[in-house]
Amino acid sequence: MLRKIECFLQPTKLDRIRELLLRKGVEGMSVLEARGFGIRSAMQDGVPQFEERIKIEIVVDEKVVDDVLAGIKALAGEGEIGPGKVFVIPVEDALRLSTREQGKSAIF
Amino acid sequence: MPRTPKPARALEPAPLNAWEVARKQLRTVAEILDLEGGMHETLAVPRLCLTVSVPIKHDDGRVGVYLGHRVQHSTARGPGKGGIRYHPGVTLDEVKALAMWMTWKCAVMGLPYGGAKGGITCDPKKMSANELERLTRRYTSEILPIIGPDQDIPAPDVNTTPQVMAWVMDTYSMNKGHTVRGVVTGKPVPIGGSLGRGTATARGLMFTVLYALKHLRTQKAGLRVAVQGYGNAGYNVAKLLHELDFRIVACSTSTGGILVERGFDPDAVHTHYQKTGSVTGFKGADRLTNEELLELDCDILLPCALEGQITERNASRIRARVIGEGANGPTTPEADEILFGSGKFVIPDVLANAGGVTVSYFEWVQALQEYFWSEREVNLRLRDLMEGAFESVYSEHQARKIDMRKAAYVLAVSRVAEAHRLRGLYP
Repeated sequence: MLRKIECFLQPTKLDRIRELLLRKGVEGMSVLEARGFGIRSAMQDGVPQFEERIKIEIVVDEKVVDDVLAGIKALAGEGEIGPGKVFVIPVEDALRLSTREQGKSAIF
Repeated sequence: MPRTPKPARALEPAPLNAWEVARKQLRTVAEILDLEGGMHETLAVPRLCLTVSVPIKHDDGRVGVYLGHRVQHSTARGPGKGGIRYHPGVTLDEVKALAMWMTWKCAVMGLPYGGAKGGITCDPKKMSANELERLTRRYTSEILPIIGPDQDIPAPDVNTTPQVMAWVMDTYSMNKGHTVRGVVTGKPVPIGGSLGRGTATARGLMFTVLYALKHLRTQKAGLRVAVQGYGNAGYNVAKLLHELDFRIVACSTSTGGILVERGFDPDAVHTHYQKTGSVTGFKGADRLTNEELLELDCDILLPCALEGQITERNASRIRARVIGEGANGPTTPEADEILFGSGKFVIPDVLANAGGVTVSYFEWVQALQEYFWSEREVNLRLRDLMEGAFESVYSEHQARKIDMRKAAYVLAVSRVAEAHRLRGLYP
């Protein structure tokens, strides 16, 4: 089964995350600029303030999910405030438009 | 390409003893795996062979007595699983071989089954529907003590249809006093069959062809495909590959084949076949024999008809790079060596046509759950299992530098042997 890993991280971590994913054999990633707040974000006039983050999206085989998560955990700064969050989501199917391959073949 | 039409020749299985072939294959794998004393012997002998007399009253009042068999080769990994065939050529030896191949097929796919097979020596084409029903019900009654959802689960095979499976289910259920859907697979959908079962073999074959091409780093668009046999598997795999831009250039049935250099629409040929009982005579097509089809200049050859089609006589003339065995046993062991030696990539039957038994497994699971899946869910799960099995076999093929068939057998036999070791020897 395929899984999508969505990571909300501090922008300074981007290069190291890219290196990590390449080492783990992940062949592609998407990066989006994002803004958001969490329960520990700075407040102004009682309103949580947006902070700059990056969102990384990768789709991988479920077999490598734990390994990738372990790598991200090690890099992303445990104990600090606001290092981000990671979500793992089941992916039903994938389609590579250039070859019309579907499923895992569309990813690897 | 101008061709001289030749008279069509019926597909004939090569004269070989399937049981000898099956035991020879096991011997080869036992040597590769260096199986411990006793294990090879355990796997070389079927767990149970039941031969029964199947007397029926024909429509004209005459009584005919037929011989039926049910063989469970192994139940180490789970209940026996395998089809029932009605054919004049059925022998106990053939059924034993087919049961052993089912054990390997289920193990390659990682299904929680052993292997079994059944058959009746008869000519169903000479029987009415009523006679077939009586034959099926009597045979089911005779083998009833050894079948069941936890024991041995029959399925369709040569000349047995979803309707025949419905009669098996009904006979078993009547004897048990309640409906038992899980006793048989390949049933019609309204009584507990699975969506997607009809095209499962073809879909599984298509997936294995795609994975093979990926490993061979070959672009698929425009590749030329020849399909021997245009029944359920042959027609549906042609249709599925056509949808993916493969060029289906040739196909055949027992009455001969056709070649269309620019490629043909599988549905149009299917319609022609339904109308005329033959694929020959299709508009714009050249005629070719089954032998010529096998040796055709194409990229992918899919033997989806009978066993023993690629032999030492024609193996060196096969030009396709990839051969996907939609049928059971279309390649003889001698031909295997020739094909592997000349760099052909053979996707062996136990993997290539395992889509059928995989969706049979899904049907059984759905029957036990009494909850039924959408066709999309069935197809996605099938793809998952086919991909996993292909990758496991391919890894063995790469690691041991052996052909894909031996790789599949190595994987299967080691899984079954492991189950035996873990369960131990009773008592």
